[in-house]
Amino acid sequence: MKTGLDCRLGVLALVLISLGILGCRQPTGPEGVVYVAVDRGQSEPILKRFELQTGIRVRPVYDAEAAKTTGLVTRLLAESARPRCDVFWNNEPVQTLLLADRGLLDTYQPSAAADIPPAYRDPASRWTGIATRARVIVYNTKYVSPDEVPRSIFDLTSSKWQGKVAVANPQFGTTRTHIAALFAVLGQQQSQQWLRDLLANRVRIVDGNAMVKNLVARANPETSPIYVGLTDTDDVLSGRADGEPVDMIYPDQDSFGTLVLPGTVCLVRGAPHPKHARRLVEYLVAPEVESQLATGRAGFMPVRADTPAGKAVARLGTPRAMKLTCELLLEQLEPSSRWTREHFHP
Amino acid sequence: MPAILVTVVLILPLALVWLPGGPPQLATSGQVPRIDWNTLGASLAVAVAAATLAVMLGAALAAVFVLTDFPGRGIWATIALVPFICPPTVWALGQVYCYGGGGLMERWCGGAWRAAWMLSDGGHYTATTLVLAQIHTPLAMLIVARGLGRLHHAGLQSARLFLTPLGMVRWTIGAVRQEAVTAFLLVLALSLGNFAVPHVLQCRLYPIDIYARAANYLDQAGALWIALPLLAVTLFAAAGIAAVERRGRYDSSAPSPPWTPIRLGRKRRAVAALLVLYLALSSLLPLAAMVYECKSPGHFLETVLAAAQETENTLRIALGASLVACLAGVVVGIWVSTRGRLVIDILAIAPLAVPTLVLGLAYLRFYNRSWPIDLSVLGNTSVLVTLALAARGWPFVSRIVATGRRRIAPQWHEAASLGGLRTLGRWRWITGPLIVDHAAAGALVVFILAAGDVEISQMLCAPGSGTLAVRLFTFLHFGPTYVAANLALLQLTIVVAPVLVYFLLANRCLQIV
Repeated sequence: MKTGLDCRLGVLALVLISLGILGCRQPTGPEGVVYVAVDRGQSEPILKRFELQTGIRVRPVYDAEAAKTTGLVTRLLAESARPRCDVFWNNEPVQTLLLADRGLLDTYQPSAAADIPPAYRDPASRWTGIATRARVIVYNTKYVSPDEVPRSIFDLTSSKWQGKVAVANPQFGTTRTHIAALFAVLGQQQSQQWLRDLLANRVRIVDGNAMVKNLVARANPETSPIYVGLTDTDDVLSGRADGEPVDMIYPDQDSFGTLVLPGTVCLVRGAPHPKHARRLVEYLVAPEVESQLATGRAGFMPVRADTPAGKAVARLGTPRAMKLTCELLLEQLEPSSRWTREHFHP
Repeated sequence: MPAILVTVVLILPLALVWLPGGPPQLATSGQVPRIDWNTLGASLAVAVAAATLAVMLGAALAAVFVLTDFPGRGIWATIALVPFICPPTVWALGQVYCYGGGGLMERWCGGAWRAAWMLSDGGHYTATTLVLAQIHTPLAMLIVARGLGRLHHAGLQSARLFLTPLGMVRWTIGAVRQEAVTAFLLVLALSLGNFAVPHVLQCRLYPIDIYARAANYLDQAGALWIALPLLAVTLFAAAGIAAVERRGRYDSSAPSPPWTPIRLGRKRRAVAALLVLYLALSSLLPLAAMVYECKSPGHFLETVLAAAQETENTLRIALGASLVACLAGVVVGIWVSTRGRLVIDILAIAPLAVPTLVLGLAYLRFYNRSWPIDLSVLGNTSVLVTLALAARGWPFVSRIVATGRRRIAPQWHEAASLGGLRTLGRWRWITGPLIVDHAAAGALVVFILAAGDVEISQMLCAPGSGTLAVRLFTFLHFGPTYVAANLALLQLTIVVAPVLVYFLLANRCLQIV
């Protein structure tokens, strides 16, 4: 018994010491930390390629559908006194604007972004826009013919689509930004009325945009008759790449246009690895990466006119975009969020 | 002393969590945290229903495995443990692939049966209750089995001779009511704090509100504030466990009278059929559906290679957490077992009832506070997540070790003292060898919890050091279905395989836990 116990205690001590060493080990080579809100399936290969090209180890933190971009923003905010992150690669602009507003972003003008149109660059050089997405109406191609597809977001409130529409929780993510944009473009009264009509039409509220696409793709007349929804282009194009029966239209092309949202890349103020962070920013905003995102399964719309893109990917300007400024969007973000908080209970 | 220090370090973040001075918040106007009593009520209802169901099913399974001569009981009991061993996210995902929209059952049986189900379960509350009950049934089974295992001390043979079958059932229920209540309260506390199952099943329960407050409203302090009512209920349940467990304690010094298991005779086939049906519907079919969604061995191999780093991180973190928890749990367990005060018992079991979300938030806020010394060196390592997972697990170890320590006959210690052995010597020659299996069982439970954890890991993992559970969490809704299915299968393999091997080789699960 003595030998057995001694042996076990010895092994325990050895393992504990080894784990302590393993757990506390610090990476020795050059490295950079990036918080990524772009879907992992798309962003992971891009970051791996950067590692191969530069020898700089990238340590990413990805967001999850449940937390969305705001989860990473929370983390950035919580760490503001001692930043751990070097680069924030966001899939939308509003949270980036909020961070910029709070003074959490550093200024940096990447040389690789010189050919990006000024509308997609921060005048103060705190962020650079790449790889845009649009808010679209997704529909199930098995149950909805192209003629029947709603052409406007206002069609979603008609009795024909009662109980057949899904949207993501408008308190978060790009749906939140979409509502703020509608507040800015249509005015508060008209937007609120549309939201009320949507609720009265028994809209299904789900966790995220990917869930909207999933519900539409798996629509079933008996169990889940959700045939249309509001989501982002990347969700629909990914679904199509997986062979799901979904397609999309850009809504309100005859009136105020579709919301188009660029992804953003920014440098965190007080980044622990500023030199490598700048290299990563240069890499992420380069045309090659944008081309990779545009030709990938998620089909982001490139901000550069000459960047190669997949067949299904629209060019900026082809879908008529809402006319918005960052200031206007930020201004309406809080009033619209407050309203949806009070009226939407998923 | 080192173990006491480790224990203090584990508890400290939780003790400091509601003190002011945390990291700044992105609070915007109108974001005052509000307790949603409807959701809290729904969570309570779901947890109570899940706990009741789990205790009933667990007691039935325990009765078959402990009291009867059902053939192959050890193997069946091990198979029945799988839902508890399996990470909750993976288990819930398997149920979705099997019984969810477009799942295996819908493909086999058509949509009609599901339509009827959906009509009665629009908010997915029933589905969540059933999955939570499935996950915790093995835990209830283990606890009730402990009570059934000592029925021979309470006069099982006499009861069998003199009581009618119905009277026998009543007598048995009365004899194990302490364990049944303990199991109910434990399952209630664990179900109330479970985030993974309602998240996967898209059921709006209270942990989702807490998570949304922390992650989406950018308000950790508010999340902790609204977590208070949930925490109060879970702590109350933990206090109940401590109080109930004090009522009757048995040690191994009493010689076990000889007894023969109840012969099932002709009923054996019926019992076997019911058992197979239960295991098929709850475990086998969902796992088969998950394997079906994986598409091919090639896809699985691709996932294994892509997730190699996360697999290594998972094993390293889970192993580290289980060892730290083991160290702290043994010290606390032994200390608690030698004291007889209710307050100490309650304090020792209370951390077990703290929801993982709250624990994760506590550690996150602890790290982000302003300290005189720079803690940022911890930020790039797995130390924080390992400690938080150890803090999650050590009450399990201390509870199991305390139970084991109480079973050691006091006469042995007295004899050793008379023989000249001092405290350290007695620990080395008597206590240590006799509780080492209990500590191992506790460490195994912590390994299972740590390897399947998603709440703490996704908050605290260092950048680039995510675990398999975090990878699955990020691919859950975004990625193609087969990626999530393959990741779930991989996680299942690395968690379940070592545990099953341990149980099959040691065949000790029912005796120890």
